[in-house]
Amino acid sequence: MSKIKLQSSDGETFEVEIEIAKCSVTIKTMLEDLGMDEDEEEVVPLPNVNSAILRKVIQWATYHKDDPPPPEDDENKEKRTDDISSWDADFLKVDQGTLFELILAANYLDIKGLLDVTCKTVANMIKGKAPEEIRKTFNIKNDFTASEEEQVRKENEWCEEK
Amino acid sequence: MEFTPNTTYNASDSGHVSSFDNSLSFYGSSSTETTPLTNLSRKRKFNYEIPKRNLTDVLESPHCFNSTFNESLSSKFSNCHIKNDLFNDIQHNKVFKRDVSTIQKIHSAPCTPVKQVKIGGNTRSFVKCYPEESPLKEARSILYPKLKPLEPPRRILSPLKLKKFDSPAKKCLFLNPKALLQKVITNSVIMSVVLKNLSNGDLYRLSKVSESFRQAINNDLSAVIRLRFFDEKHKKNKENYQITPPPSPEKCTETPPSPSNRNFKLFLNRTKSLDKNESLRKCDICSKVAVVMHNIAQCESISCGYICCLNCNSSSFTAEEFNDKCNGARLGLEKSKENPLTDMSNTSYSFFNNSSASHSHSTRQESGFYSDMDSPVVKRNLNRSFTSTPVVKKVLASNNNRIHLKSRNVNLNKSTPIHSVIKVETTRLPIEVVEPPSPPRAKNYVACSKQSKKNLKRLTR
Repeated sequence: MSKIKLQSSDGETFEVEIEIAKCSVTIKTMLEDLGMDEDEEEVVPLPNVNSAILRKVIQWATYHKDDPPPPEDDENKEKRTDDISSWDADFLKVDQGTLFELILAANYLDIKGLLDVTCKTVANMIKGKAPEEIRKTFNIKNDFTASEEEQVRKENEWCEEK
Repeated sequence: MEFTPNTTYNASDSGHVSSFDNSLSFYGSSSTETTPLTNLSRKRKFNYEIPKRNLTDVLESPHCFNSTFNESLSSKFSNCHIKNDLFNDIQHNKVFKRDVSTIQKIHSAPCTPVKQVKIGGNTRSFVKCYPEESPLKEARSILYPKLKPLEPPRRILSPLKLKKFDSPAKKCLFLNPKALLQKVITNSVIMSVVLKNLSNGDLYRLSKVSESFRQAINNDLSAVIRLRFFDEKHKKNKENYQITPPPSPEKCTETPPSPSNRNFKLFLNRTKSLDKNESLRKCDICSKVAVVMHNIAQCESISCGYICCLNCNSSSFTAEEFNDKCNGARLGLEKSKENPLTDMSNTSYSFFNNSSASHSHSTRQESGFYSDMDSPVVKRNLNRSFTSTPVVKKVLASNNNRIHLKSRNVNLNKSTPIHSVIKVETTRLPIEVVEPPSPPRAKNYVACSKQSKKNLKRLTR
């Protein structure tokens, strides 16, 4: 199996099989556009991904290397969020910082499967919660003005009084 | 004897610089003797050094164990009579900032960064010592000028130390989750994927979390459409909530009847024998029971007999005079003039029992309800009914449209008859045979039981 070297933002190099690396559309396009031969031991720099996150991304890609391509999205249909596999659920049992970094890395590397599953995890953290609960979950400061806040409170009375 | 770089190299390279090592080099020990020291463990070094100290009496001077290393070195140098040479060279070549009063900066052998050293014979002054470039490097550069120097191993830095670095990579390693969340929220591609996974209600609630979330939703077109849809629906629901609670109850004009009232019992008894298309009403004149059928109310009281149409308010006390303006009903007087014996097959018991047989028959037709009297068995026994005295069957009477027939039959000669005001139809409606929803239960009688005997008797008759 031919391999490729991926260099993280902090200089760490990871040797990965090309097939696994090509899970990322960004890397795939890079290899195709730059005409990198499989025999050459080129190092692909990934300046937006640090080593810890890149390691996790490679771990995910290695596990899902044989997965079929994800189906096309139906724009007007609400997606399901309860179809996360147990392995992915365990894989994403990380702190919020790492989860957000994984999302950003998945977006940068254009790995649709990883982006979907991480976004689903975030969506599950939001689902069914009142605005105040969401603020607590993500440690967000309420940046509404007093008048806006009062309006929001009035509008939410009906759903909060249960 | 020269101050060779080897001695200092050995001392500095091992990371353990002791005065004894230096002393060894100065007093005739070859470099080969010192090199094994570097390879020995600390314990062995210590054991090795102690006898050396005993052998060399150089360090007997009171300056040997000075508080600082540099002082001890300088004292040793002075004992070795190389002080002047060394320091003269240093003063000539490497000392700088000599003009700054008495403080002199010199380059010395590798040592701790800043030390105060007393130098000079009578005029000792404080000198700041700075670590000199390692002699190993000098030797290395001489021996291998083309060879690149080795890179020092990378230090593992704690996040706190990394905070002062401005490089984006190191920043990214230890970014605050808040900053990361902000990055995620501001990324339209990521947010579109997140928002797709949320329901309309979740979108609505998310828009109330913070301004940044609201902005993120507004940037996604499909999310905005869904949010507006939900908002409109929510507003409609809110309006419904306002409408749903009823206004103040309307004032009832009529007081509900009390159960103790005598009329109440009359009404209650009468309701038991009402047909589907009949209803009861208080008579406008005597407040007694009036039966309403096809919007025409007829008082059942014999003394009153008030008839009125509820649509057009046309009223009369007698059936002959009653003229319905809205044509909802006609008096069946013409019908009553017909010869009752013309068609005996279609007549009922009530025809023979009272003078108002025709209208009673018509009312039965009107209601569409036919009692057992119309059955073929009954028709066959018509002759017997002629001969027999008129008997009012209570049960059969209840099947008729007009209950008042019972009382009318009894009081037939006492008061004027009340004719039905229901419109008479010439064409007879077809009999509708309605099958019962479920077959009646077949009673299983035991042979020779009382019931079976009774049945047998009936059959034999």
